[in-house]
Amino acid sequence: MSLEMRAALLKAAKRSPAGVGELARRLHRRTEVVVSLIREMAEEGLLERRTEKRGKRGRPRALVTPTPLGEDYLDAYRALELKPLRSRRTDLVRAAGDGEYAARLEARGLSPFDLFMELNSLVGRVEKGST
Amino acid sequence: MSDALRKALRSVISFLEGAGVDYMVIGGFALPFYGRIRTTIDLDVAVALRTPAEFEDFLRRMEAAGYEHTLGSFKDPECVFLDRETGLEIEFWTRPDGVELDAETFARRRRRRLGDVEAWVISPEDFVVNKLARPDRGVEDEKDVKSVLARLRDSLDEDYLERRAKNAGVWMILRAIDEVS
Repeated sequence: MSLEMRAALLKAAKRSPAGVGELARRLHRRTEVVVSLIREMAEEGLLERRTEKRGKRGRPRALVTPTPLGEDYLDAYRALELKPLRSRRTDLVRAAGDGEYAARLEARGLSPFDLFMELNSLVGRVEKGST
Repeated sequence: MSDALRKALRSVISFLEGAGVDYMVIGGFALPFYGRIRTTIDLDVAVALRTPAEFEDFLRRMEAAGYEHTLGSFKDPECVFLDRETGLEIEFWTRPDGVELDAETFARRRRRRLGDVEAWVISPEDFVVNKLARPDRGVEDEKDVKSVLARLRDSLDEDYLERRAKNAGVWMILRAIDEVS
């Protein structure tokens, strides 16, 4: 589950305690999807389910609310929204590939540090040559 | 490997090993051990200098060893020295961004071979936190972190990383970078 989905569910539940059906409506998601999300987030300690009796008759209503940890998560997420990533998705995907490439070199017995030093020296020589 | 760079590295590491201070290589020179391979222009080292007297003593010994103090005082998080012979700039961090220089951090540093010398290198978890906690965090820092997460996916101490990232206020940024695929 993504950070955004967790935050969206927490925001929806924080607006006012709601049952699964109401949360599904607020999030424009299918009920079974929201049930699964709630289960996962309850296991993570972000949401809690409590029952509320509606008068003397009828089944008690199950309401979903954020836990204190869920509130902290939401605060941190809002702070993150104010400090977005500097890099683009493509930058990070390429960087992940570069990290895996270094791992493959190491697995073949090559030293990424020695290659780093070679690269540094090469750039140093090019810079010296251009001044 | 360039002889000049190798020599500069050997000199400063030998100095630190003999100086009797806790230290560890951080930043770009630590990156090839954990993440991608890219160039960098200076050497960053975290040193445990906890009092002005320790700092002054360190400064005197660095200058006696041929390094020129060009920037920074005990009040600053870092100070800069120049290796006059090779032109290599060395940044010594007494308060590296986001990293507590406590016993746990030093216990987790790794012994690694930097060319022809062995040196202490920051742990990958503290490396990640340090990169993300920089006030001027940029694209390259985030890419460095992503490359470490990709390369060391199964060997990072996730509990320690989470605790330290939360302490440094970078946990959410780290999660966001980790989730990009």
